[in-house]
Amino acid sequence: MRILAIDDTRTLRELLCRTLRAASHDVVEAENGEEGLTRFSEDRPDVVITDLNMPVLDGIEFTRAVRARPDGGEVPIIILTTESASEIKAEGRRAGATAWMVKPFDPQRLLDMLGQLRK
Amino acid sequence: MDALAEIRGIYFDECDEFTGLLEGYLAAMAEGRATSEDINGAFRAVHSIKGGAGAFGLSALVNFAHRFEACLDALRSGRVSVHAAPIDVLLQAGDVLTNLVQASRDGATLPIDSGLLEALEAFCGGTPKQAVPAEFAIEPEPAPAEEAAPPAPSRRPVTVRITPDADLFRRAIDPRVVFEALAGFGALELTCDTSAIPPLDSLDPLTCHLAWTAVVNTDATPGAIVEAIDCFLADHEFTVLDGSDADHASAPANQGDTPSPQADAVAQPGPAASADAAAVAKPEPAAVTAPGRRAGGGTIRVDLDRIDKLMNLVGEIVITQSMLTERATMLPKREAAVFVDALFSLNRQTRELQDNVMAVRAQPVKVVFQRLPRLVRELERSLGKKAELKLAGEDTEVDKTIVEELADPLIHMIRNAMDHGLESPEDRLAAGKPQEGVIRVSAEHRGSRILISISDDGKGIDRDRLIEKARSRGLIAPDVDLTPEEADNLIFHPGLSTAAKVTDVSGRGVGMDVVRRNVEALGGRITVESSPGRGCKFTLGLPLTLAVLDGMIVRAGAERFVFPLSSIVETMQLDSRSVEPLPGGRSVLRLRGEVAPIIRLRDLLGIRALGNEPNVVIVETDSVPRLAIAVDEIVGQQQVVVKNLESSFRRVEGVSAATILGDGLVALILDVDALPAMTQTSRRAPPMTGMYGAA
Repeated sequence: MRILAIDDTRTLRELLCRTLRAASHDVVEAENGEEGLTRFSEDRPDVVITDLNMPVLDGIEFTRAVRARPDGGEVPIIILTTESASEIKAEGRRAGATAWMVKPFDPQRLLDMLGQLRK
Repeated sequence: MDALAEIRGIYFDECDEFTGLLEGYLAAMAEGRATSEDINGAFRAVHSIKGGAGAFGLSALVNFAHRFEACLDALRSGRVSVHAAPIDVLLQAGDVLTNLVQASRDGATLPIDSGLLEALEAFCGGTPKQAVPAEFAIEPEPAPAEEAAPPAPSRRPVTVRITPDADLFRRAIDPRVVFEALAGFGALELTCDTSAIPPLDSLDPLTCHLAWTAVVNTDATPGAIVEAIDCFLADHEFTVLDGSDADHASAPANQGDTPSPQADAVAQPGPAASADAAAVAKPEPAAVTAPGRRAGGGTIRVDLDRIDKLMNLVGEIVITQSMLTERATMLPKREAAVFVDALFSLNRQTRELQDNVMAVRAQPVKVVFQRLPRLVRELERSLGKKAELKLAGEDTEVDKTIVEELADPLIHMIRNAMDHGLESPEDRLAAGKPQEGVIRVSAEHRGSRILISISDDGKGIDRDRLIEKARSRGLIAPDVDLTPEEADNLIFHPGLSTAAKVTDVSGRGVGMDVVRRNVEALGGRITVESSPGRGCKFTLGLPLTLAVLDGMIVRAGAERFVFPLSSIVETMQLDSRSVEPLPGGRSVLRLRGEVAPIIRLRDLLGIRALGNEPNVVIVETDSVPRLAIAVDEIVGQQQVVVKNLESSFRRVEGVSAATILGDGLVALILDVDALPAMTQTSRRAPPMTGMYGAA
């Protein structure tokens, strides 16, 4: 499965990508939402995993932009963030986020979630 | 160093970046000129430090960063006005955060002034809006939370009411994902409430009108069930009712003032975390080595663009200076002497200026090299091979752009060496070699170039296969015999990959030809030496900088050309008695007992002759150790500013770039390493008339 991983923190992006690649996923990286949108159009991921707080274009704006695209309605978007306040979560849902996971993530849980979303 | 430790290293490097940025943002706030971008930036910096610290289980750092972040969040959201806020608290917190990062890097602990913690709390209006998430510990601390938890419930029905928002489907979510997650807990009985579905004519298929009631027969706690589905559904979209007391549990399990067990876990700092906080608050000066500023301190961040502008300016000064030198010759003798003296000083100062600007841009190749050990380890695993990576010359410095461009070719070549070069451990043993292969990567300065070599002790290039392949594709005639070197060089031919099958690691068809193209685009060169059964060595030669070059200016016909000084061995008068003709129209120059092929620049470039060619420049090239180039005149020696030719014209064989001379005319900078190949093949450059001298 091709996964677009967006996080402005290199360390966390690296951890995420490593986890995903170890599970034989094809991973495309982006540093912020804007780069994420470019990657989204060019690499056509099956699933997107994005951070929330990022410069240039944050996770919520990114999600909104993807959902506004004609081809962006069906791709699950997982928001992976340290935020767990329910009002932010609700905003994420309204923007169109499929799932929410709190960092630091349990790699197995993330992979399980991907497995569930894939079906 | 294992993989996690390595990422940890990257994390701390990044932290240095973040604390540096943070300092800038806080300074802006202290000076009362902070924009919302500064506040956001400060928030993000602290937030990122916290996120990484959580991943590495640095709970003291997480705790402090969290409090700090809460303050910045209060500023960001406008709950606290930046003008009214006690900024000195933030400045102090910034220093403490920097020190804490240092301490965490060194594995030390650092007491935190409880006064500061209180001040931070007061800053954002009492307690932080959300206490430190207990889940921040990377490995669940041996959770005393479990001691306090009630005994595991027995199997009973648990009811989950799912009432999704109407926009459920717009979130690209399939409700079955939730049902499957629930089914993981035990037998599931599902009923769908379709009462809200409108008449068909007003039905929007993208709007969710459904609600579900799921009854799971399970021994799991409600908390575990909430945890399994709350990643997919918002808090108000579901309620979990424990069957055993479902009758009176009409209040949603996870809403408002009855927090879910999950929310509970989040709201209460884990005992481990609070213990930690206590440790932090307790002053323990003995345990601390005050980290202070890091040695060498006093750094500022400068936008790369500014340095580039500076570099360009230096380039322009070099041009102006050569113009002045040119004009000096027109002055009357007495004035010229004084003028030349001053020019001499200017010359020295310009060079110094240029060296200093270049030093600002210089980076050690370590930046790229340090990524290699991990790459090798990963390849070892995926290929089932064993290899030891030996690095040398990591501190060699080179211009930042070159460092950046170096990464891809280097990684590609390491992959190649691991995939095609090194044999499997069994094959190595059979060949009488140690099981573990060796890959060496080294960097060194040579003149104004940096040489990077990548060698392995594997089986070397499979020449026969390469030749066979090249023949089968008609790249070489069937009757042509290639020297071993020529055969090895086929590896740079587009579309020739010797991998028997395309593997994940290499052999996708984009191969060494791409590496060569990229390296050449940087004004560099790549060569290969291989000995069958013993290994293979690639050498990359790259310029240290792309901006300025010491050159020797020569004339051929009416045109002037520049040789990079670094490739010139000597210059001399051409003595026709030392020239010996060879069959086939070529000739060689006898040079102190050795011979050097001689080429005439005019002939090579198709320039009309004016008089004879009395001078010869001896250059060193990658393929020919001594190459004699006959020219009409040696004009002089000077620094030239390299102007890319490809961006304004196109790539020209034998020419690496162009420059502007003191008289304002353009001269081409010759790519000496490409000259031998131009003489050997018939790929002679087209007549160059009209291509230059057009400044």
